Amino acid sequence: MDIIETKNLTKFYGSSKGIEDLSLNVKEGEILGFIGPNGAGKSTTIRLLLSLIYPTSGSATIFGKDVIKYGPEIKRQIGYMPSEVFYYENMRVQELLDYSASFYGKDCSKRIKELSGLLKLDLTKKIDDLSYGNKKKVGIVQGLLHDPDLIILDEPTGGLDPLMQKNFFELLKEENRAGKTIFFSSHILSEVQKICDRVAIIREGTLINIESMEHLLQNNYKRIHLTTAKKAEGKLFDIPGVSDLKVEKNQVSLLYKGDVNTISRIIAQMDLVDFMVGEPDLEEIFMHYYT
Amino acid sequence: MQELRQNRNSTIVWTMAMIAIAGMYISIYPSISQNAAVADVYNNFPEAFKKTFGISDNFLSAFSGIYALVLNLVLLTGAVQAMNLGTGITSKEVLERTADFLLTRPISRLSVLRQKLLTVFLLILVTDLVFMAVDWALIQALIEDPFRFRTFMTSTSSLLLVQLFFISFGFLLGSVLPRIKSVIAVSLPAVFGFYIVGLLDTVVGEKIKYMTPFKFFNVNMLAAGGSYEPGMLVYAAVLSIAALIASFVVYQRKDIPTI
Repeated sequence: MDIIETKNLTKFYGSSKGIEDLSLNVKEGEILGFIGPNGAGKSTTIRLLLSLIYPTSGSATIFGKDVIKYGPEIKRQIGYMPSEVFYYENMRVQELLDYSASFYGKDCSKRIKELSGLLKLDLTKKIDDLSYGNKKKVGIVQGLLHDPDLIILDEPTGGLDPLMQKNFFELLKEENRAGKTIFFSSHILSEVQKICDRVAIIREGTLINIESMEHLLQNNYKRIHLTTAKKAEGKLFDIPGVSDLKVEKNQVSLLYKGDVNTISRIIAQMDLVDFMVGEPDLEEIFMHYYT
Repeated sequence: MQELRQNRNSTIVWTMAMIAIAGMYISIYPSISQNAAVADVYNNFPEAFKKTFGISDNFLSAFSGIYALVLNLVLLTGAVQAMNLGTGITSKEVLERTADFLLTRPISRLSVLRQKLLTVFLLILVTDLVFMAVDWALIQALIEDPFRFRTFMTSTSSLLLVQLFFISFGFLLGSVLPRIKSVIAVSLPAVFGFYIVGLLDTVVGEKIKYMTPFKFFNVNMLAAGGSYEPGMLVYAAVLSIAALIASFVVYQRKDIPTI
């Protein structure tokens, strides 16, 4: 079953575009990375899913239910961590977490203790006095304390030190192993690479690709470096599937997606000094989508 | 509930302010009512000035005259309080940037706003009950003129009615305006705008009563023992309810601005 499904989801703020015709699905039990640069529409999509804003057109369902019509019911099983954390500043951490737990009508005190222990969060401090990173931790605990089936993360790692980040990812993997679905929005590719099963790439409000991580990294793209004996000619590589082509004197560098036989035949015509084929990292693929 | 506690102190301050205004006038009445010179001073004020402060011609000949003045001032104060509460409580989440937190909990916006409305009603009711109790006690203790309890209740309850209108109006503004930076900057101009419109009654005439909540009910007549015009009660109720319904509709459908 698809946990999240959006159909032609579109949001305009006045005349400026938030997202357009966004259709994607998140499968049960997977971790989907949702990546794109700032302003691509990641937060807009998440806010639509949480019915904090309303779509201009299109629709979205979570657990098979319309997000607007069944908003309150759906949210019982969603844990959301916003990118910027703002809470009732006069409250202490414990008070806020208890307040949050009170909405779900079940005892979450054990889970609160567990999570805050794991993240080394001091429950007696006032929210106001917390550093950015510690506020983020409050956000994490707040998002997980009611044991939600779907966890929605909007750039969750900013402000966490590397050690905490590691703990946090461990925590997410553990939740995932317990069957939880995770929707993970980020502009940091390496962290998506570490944890996600599939990746959706969004650019200027439009979904441009959604693929499994393996597929994206291994099967399709090759990073090819060539050093030729004579001055290289770029026009040989004027075939479909070649991108990010750089030709400089006797150096050729390109990204290739397609049948490897095609490219190997082209390379075979050349007089080579050196030859290297490798897996591109996500960063490179990402750049490719943005240029 | 959370919001009752947050608004407790300001409610106490507003109640005390209204009591102070009423108390001051009620306590000086016995001394000035005996004094013909003071009456002369008031009578010789320019007509416009008298209008502005609700000073009627028989201002000092009976307690009802000065009580109408008291009520006009208390109404204005109470209106600001109600408007502040209404606008503040509906825009608070956006202003304090806690909307994301609250509205991602499993509760509907309808029940959020309903609870806010209940909170404001409760706070205003407590304010008015305390004010009326102290006000009546002061009148009993200090005023020798006969001033019937019925007249007191009738005229003073206009405070609650006017406040109910301003709560609704505050809810409407708080829901409609996308991002309120300062509640006072919205509520004060709105309330004083209506108050100033009320001062134009010499120009506008009878129709003024439809144009500003400060003239929905004729406070001077109520203090002198008159009763409410049923038509105006209905008119005020319809406007308040319409504003409330509109605010609920808008609040349900509005986009919560990104932090």
